Amino acid sequence: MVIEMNQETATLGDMPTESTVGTIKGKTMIECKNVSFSYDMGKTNTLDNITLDIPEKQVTALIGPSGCGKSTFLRCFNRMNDLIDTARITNGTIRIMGQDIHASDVDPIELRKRVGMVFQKYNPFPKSIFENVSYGPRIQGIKDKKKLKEIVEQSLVGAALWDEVKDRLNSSAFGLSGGQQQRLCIARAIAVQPEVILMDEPCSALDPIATAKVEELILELRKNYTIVIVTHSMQQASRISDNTAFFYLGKLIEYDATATLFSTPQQKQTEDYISGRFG
Amino acid sequence: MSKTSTSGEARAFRKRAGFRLLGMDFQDIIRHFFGGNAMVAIIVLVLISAFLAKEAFFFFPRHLEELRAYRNTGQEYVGYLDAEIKAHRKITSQATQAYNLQLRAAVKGELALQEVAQELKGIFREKIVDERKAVKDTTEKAGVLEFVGGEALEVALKEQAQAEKTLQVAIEETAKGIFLDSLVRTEVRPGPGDFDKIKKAVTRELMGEETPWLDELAATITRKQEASAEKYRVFGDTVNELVAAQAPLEDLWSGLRKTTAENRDLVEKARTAPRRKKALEDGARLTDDADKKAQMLAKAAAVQLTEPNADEMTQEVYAQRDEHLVVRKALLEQTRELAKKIPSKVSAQDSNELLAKMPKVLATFEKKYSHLGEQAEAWSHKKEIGMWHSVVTFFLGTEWVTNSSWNDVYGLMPLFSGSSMIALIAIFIAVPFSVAAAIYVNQIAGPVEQNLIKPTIEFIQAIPSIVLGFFGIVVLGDFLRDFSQLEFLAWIPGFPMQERLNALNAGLLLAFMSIPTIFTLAEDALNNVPKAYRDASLALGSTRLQTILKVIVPTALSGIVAAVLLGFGRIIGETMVVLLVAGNKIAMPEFSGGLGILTEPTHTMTGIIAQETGEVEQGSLHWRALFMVGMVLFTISLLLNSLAQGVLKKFGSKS
Ligand SMILES: Nc1ncnc2c1ncn2[C@@H]1O[C@H](COP(=O)(O)OP(=O)(O)OP(=O)(O)O)[C@@H](O)[C@H]1O
Ligand SMILES: [Mg+2]
Repeated sequence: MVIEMNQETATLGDMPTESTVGTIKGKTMIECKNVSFSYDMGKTNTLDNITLDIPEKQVTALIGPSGCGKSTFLRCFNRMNDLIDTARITNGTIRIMGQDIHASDVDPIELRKRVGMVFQKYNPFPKSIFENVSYGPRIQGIKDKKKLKEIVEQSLVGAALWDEVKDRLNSSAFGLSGGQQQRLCIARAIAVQPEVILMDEPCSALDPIATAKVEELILELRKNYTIVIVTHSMQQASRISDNTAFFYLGKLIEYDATATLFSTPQQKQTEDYISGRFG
Repeated sequence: MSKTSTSGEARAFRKRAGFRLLGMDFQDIIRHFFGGNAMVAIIVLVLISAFLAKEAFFFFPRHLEELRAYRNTGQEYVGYLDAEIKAHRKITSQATQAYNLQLRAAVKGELALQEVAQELKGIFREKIVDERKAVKDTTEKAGVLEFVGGEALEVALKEQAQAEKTLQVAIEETAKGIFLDSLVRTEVRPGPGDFDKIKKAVTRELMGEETPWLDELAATITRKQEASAEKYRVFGDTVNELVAAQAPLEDLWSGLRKTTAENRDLVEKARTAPRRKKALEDGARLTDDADKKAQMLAKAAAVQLTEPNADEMTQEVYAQRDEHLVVRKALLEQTRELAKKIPSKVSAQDSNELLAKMPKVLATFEKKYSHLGEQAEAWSHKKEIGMWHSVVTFFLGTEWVTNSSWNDVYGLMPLFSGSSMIALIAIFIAVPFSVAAAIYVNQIAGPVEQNLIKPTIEFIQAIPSIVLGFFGIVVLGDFLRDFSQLEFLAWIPGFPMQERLNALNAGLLLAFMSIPTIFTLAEDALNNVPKAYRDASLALGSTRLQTILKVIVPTALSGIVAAVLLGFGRIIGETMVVLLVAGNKIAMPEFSGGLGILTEPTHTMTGIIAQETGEVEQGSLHWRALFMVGMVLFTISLLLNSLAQGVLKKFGSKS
């Protein structure tokens, strides 16, 4: 069931003309410049003129009310939006590690090997745990059994799942609990050794204990990967992220170090949203 | 806490009084209505199965009686003789053919010229049709007027002369327009000199003159053939002796055959005797005419109710067995002797090909003949035939012969193999097409293509099968045969095809018919694969093709297998197309012919029911045999369906 939100009554006041962007420390991994995005060939812009830089090996959280375009923005980074015929970037550029990802010589298949994704609803394949994790390496052409085993173990250890599943690698992934399945999906994503991991509300289908485990894992992964995470939980954002971007109606309102954004928001909408007066 | 009384608000959720019928409220009635409808469907199915089973299973006891009659009348023994003669005929026909080809080869050139003359004559005649008709008409008229005489006759004779002259001019004119290139039918091209000679001769013949050249040609042919026959006299004599050697066995066979057929008539009569008697008695009771009544009663009393005695019936067979054993031995020895005299090489190429196969033919004959001998020697009408024999000969029998005056045989195998052959052809062709189409439509095509392809394929289902059958006869049959006659395709087994209507033709049409079934179900199965799997796979950097092959198809595999099984069921059960297109030849396929059997005409289980049910007597053995075939079909469909369901249950997607 879809519950539509009435945006007329749930307004956060006037839109600011400029987005507030604080100083973000670190080396830039993803660089977005004036990005506009449309689902209907440019008739209406779902994302409007977004400029922000995401630093390397940090956790960046995207927050905002439902329908503001967080998932859309996230899916721009691995060009998953390409699957929708009428969707396109109407303006601006996105660079990852300095490369414009919409340049004509960029292969989205190759891009997705470097920019992994974890979905809101855990979605392991109807295969064994081993096959799930080894899927990515296998389609990249790795056939050697020993090598695959090594990768699977490393990935599962990296996803903090190894101890729980090492004895039943060949049983179906559907036998795992929800939290375990989501961590399996993370293991599957890191098995192809990406630079960036995109996570779209990875904990929204999990109970608090499973959520805690995944959050712990994210903090661990942060050492090696650049993580962009969409979340609806302010607490989660403040617990695990280094930087937070607040979106509203397809616009970037405010972007800053998490501590700063939550303690001293610059924009009125940000303040209303994080203090729960809206949403 | 004090307890509340039920008198207050709680009344609100008590059952309300209202419409009631037979103690049921409205909800109950609706429930029973729908439940009842489902029940009716199930009951009808059970009734149909029970009816089929009842009618079919009484086949076996009746079939057993028939098999016993075949033995008790001695017909079985005659069957051995029959088989011996047929086995021997294979040798004689092979040898005769080889000999005739050799004789023909000696006069090949002359025969070719004769053929050319024949074609030329045809060409001429076509061009001078009108003139010839005029001559014929005027001649007739003159013939009639001959008795009248006078002026009218004179006019008529003049007309006739005129017509004849016109014809001659026409022939001469036509001759000018005919060249060597005008010949299209004859394979051999004569040299220009020969052609001129032939043309002249044909012209003369048409004009009613003498044609010494053509006469000479015919004489040459006879002479040369005689010379050749002289040269191969030993061969020719051998062939004749081979044929003649059969005569004693054939005589024996025809004598015994007559006796045993009479025996069989007796048995049949005895079987219907009680019924006839009762009919006569009933008739007598109903007539008022005293004379007729007496007559009928007398007839009824005369009906023999006793079954004919097997010992008596087979007496003749036993009496002739010793003679048979002597005769067959003589035939074998004679054949061995004569076979040595058949030359292994002659001058004609095509007869050499036949002669090369001779040793193999002889070996097969020896084997078969000695086996038949053993059977004949051991034969006894007292040997019991068990029920299992009745069952086995039906299911594994390789012959299906009905309405024969000698003995009917009901063996399922030719029909079963025909059905399976066609179904396998169809499924091999249909599966790749429909599964690939389903994958394309579901995974690759854009919405425009989807909206075009899906309804189009589903429309195939709406084509009446009789229309497809018609198409198979009128269009596909000719096309396939012409196609198979292309020279560079001759390496394909079964090509060039002899018949237009055959298993391949039917298989192709059935493949076409089953595509929508398999396509729709497979597409459903693919559609049921959650989009999340596709997204996950693509997000890991796999291509579309990898995603389809490694994630989507494996996930939908159980559904696709079920689709194929159901498609197979549809193919096996299809009747109209196979009846029209399969060629309806009841025979076991010659498996030694390899894949070539696929282009042979064949008959099917469904086809035989459709074809024969209309003309059999209810309750007869033949009728029950058809029911039994129906039962087999029913069982196959049931198995396929439950298999499909089992596959879905066991391996169906668990998400
Ligand atoms: N495939 C699509 N085609 C057309 N419009 C879409 C599509 N997906 C999303 N949208 C629209 O784009 C807007 C942004 O959607 P998006 O899913 O990015 O929001 P979100 O911020 O992720 O919301 P949520 O928090 O509920 O997930 C919404 O108005 C939505 O209706
Ligand atoms: Mg979203």
